[in-house]
Amino acid sequence: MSVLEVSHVSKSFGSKNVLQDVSLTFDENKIYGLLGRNGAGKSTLLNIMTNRIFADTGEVKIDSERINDNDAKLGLIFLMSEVNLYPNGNTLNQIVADTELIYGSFNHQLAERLAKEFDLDLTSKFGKLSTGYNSIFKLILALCVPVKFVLLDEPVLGLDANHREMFYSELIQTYTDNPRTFIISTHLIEEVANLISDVIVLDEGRIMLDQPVEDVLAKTHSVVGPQKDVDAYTKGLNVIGHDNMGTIRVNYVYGDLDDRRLPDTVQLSNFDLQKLFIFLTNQFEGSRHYEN
Amino acid sequence: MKTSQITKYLFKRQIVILGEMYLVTFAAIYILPLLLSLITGTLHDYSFVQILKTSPITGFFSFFMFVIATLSYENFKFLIQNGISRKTFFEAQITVYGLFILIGNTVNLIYNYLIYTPMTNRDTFNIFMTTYAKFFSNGIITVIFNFIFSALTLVIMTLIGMTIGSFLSLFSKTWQRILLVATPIIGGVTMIYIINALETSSLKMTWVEHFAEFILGYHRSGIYNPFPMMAFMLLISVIMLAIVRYLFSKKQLKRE
Repeated sequence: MSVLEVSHVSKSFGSKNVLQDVSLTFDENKIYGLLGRNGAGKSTLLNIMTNRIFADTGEVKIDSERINDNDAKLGLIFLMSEVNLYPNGNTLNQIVADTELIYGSFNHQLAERLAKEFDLDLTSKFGKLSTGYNSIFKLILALCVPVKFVLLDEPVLGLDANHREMFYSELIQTYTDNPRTFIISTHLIEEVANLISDVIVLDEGRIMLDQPVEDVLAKTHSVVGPQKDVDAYTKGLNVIGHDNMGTIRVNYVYGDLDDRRLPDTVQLSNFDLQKLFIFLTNQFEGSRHYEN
Repeated sequence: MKTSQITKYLFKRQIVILGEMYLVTFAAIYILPLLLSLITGTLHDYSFVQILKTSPITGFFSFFMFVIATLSYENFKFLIQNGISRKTFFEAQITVYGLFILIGNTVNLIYNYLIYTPMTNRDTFNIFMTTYAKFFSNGIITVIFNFIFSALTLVIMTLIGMTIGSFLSLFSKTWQRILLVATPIIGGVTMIYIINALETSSLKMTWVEHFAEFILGYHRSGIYNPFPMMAFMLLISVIMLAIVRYLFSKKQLKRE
């Protein structure tokens, strides 16, 4: 089983600390969601993990071997991002052929099927693609190269709703047919919440959360009822946010509930990943950061 | 390591660029004057041999190698996208340029000896033939050392291109523009200042003169020795190769 490790990575651009002592482990055959607000450091982290840029401190390893100057390990990881690194004058078929030359193999059957499904003409020139089709082509490449770790940085950028749905469906299919690790960095949390098995939240360059989704959601509790009763019930618990609807109060708790008695006027339920993310990464009255 | 795959990829890509440069130059130097002569009705003035004498196309090869060698960042982008290390990129790139120099230099010399010289009755078609041909009494030895000398010249031009290209690729486009504009101006002004200062100064820089004479292989008899220059070029090549290797290791994707 291959393991991708990020150890104590820090990175600054000028006076701005973009990543601060980030340590993560990615196991094989899982789908990770890498979530964070704009400027949280997600793309920087992915670029460091694929050796496109250098960390100021720390290192990235695959199976305990550093990735620097290591073709064997770098060849196990593929990053799809909005940055265009392909020659604009090349046709898509040419880029596929060159990619195959470098990786040694390529899933042409899947690529042709996906191109047909997304209505992408592989004889087009890369530089002439629209934003959406640019993303689609890069996604096709990402799904067809023989790697163990597929990193997708805002994979559905520019895709319409139909294409997004098709992409998610194809992602699940290819993951089922050929299990490998996917790391999806996205703002569209609701869309990926049902896909990912583990969630990582990055905020201001630090890891706020790094846990299986199941465990995370099990700790989310929305406490609904009259304000007085809700506040009394949640006293001493980790309240990360609240909503008011007239006399009804909703307190959002993240963490384990103890064995306190639940009043009849108060109801408990879970809340979703997107809401958790917003509360964890927002600074507003009555909330505090949850440290992992 | 994937050095052979990357060598194949870079060779395929860069031979096309080289071919395009040759085509454009050939068309500009030989075809364009012909067309202009036809249009202006001065075909009787057009002389292919005269153009050949004054603009030997083989002389452009070192310029082509210099230009291609500056374009390392474009290839870096594609290779880093596909999990290729900077070390492999460097090794493959050096291999490709080495092949180009070997093939190009061979073609150049064959062309010069078998076509250019008989057509123009001139055998001073490059620096070696102009300066060092008289050193050797054996024609075959002259050809061999001409090949080595020309190859070393091409190596240095290529490495200069790689150094400049790799150095500039460490900077953003804005800073690249600043460096490209400012460096020749600052360099030129500095050179003029130094020359003026030397002319008016009482300081004798005779050591510079002696050093240059030594490197050039100057001899009172007028027959220059190519070996000091070749050794110097080899030394410079090794140093520049190390610099280029270092610059390659520092390449990163730019935030643009």
